[in-house]
Amino acid sequence: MQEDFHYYATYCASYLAGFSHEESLDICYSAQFVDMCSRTFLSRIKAPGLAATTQLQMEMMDTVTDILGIQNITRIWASFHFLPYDLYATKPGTTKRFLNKYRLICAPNGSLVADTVKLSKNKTLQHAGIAMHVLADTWAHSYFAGTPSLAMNNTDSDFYEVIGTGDEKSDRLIKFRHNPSVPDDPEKGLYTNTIYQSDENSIMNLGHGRAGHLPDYSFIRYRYLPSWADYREILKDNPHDYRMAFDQMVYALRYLRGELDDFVTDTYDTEKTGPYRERIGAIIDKRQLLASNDWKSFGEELSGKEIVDFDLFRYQDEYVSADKDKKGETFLGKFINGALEQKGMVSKAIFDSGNILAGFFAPVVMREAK
Amino acid sequence: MHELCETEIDTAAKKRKHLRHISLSGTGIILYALWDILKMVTSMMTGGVEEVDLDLLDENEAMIAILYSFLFWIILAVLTVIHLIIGYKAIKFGKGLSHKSGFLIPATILGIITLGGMPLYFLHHTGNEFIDYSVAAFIMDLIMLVIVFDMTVSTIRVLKIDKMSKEQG
Repeated sequence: MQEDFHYYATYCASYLAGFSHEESLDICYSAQFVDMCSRTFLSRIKAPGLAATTQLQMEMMDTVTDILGIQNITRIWASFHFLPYDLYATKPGTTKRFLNKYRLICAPNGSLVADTVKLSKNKTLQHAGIAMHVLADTWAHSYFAGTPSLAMNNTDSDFYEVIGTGDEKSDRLIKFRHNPSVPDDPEKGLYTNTIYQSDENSIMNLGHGRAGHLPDYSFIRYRYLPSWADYREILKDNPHDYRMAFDQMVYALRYLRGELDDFVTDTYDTEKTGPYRERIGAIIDKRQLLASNDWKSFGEELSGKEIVDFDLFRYQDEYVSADKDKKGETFLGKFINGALEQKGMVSKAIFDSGNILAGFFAPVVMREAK
Repeated sequence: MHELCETEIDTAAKKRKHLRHISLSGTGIILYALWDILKMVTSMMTGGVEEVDLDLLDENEAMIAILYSFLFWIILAVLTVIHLIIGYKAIKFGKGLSHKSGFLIPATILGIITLGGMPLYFLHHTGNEFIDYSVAAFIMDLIMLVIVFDMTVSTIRVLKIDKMSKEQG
């Protein structure tokens, strides 16, 4: 997903869940910051690089995809953007090497989603924001894996947009090109994707690169052949998925606020969102590459207050100027703690399932200081 | 809209897989045709083809030699064109642009001819200097046979699936 959903829609969901305007801003800032918190940014403010929740294109270009590089990539992308659905999935007639990657395929309502939300309970708003980013991305990034893999993430030219509904449904071939400097053109069906690379571990085969930005556009429905699906066609219905993501976020945020006792997957808050169903549907269905303005208007109508635009450097000075032992109390400090916890939880879960793609974990025995 | 059941999804996936195989096989046959031309040209350049000195022949013998040479190139050209047409039609079939499977017949005939010609690599060229050429050509012909076999099996399966779908309405 993009800034329109991670920032503005998350604000709307937070406010509907009962958070105040200021709390909603903190949550939505943290949700969007997950897409911006790179190692480069962290090194600039002398924060731990291990807390990186994303990788810039330049960083990925410099990454060698040997086992250590793959583990570093997978730790980030599987923990924050492609949360695995089933770490114990099976597929007959496949090798362990295939299964390790197959089990990293992202989809909503896996057990790790519940773990992610519950990890944020009774913690900071930054934790909540991170959880909302992860939860929302499970809907948008379904059927792709957060590890570089041709076998999992490749697609081909058999890619069609499904236009219209019911009896008036029709298919239009999506034409991919490899020119990131030209914006996607939904009217002509022209989109940018990553170049085909036959190397299994090429960085071009990370996540949904081969499908371009299509998973991040709320308006589009498309059918395609994922490389892992044995020629079975997948229909991705983004309008439906984005609605579900929004409703589930409201439900999760109500749980995190303490209004609900438990968070259960496959549960959605339609009570709070019901009165705004049409409005939300109109924003999601509108054919536009970025719906930030519409979500922002909606959010400002809900709260009656202005939603400041996202600014990457808003909390930088606070963190840099804080004393070493006080950094954890700053906004970014809390975010970093949340990111480390989330990354640790997911990476350990992957390791515990017998999969080394996110690295190795060993129990740490704390010795008493002499 | 009719929702596909699990069996229909599986059948659709299988058909898709076979069509892909056919399309890929078509590409393989086209590449094989280009390989054939390359093989012939490099063979001539490296002395693999026996040259006849026309000056040593009388008029009639020279005419016959020229005619044989001419026929040889005509046949090679025709075979190449047939390969290209088979490959093109297979690709069209595989992409769903055509439902005519007639390309299978010339493909099968070519496959049989290829099979028949394979032992000649080792019977005709017996010298060590030709072993690399013979092995390479043998392997390529073997690949061609696998391609034709795969294309045939896949096409038959697609036709079966289509027939079953028609019967089930």
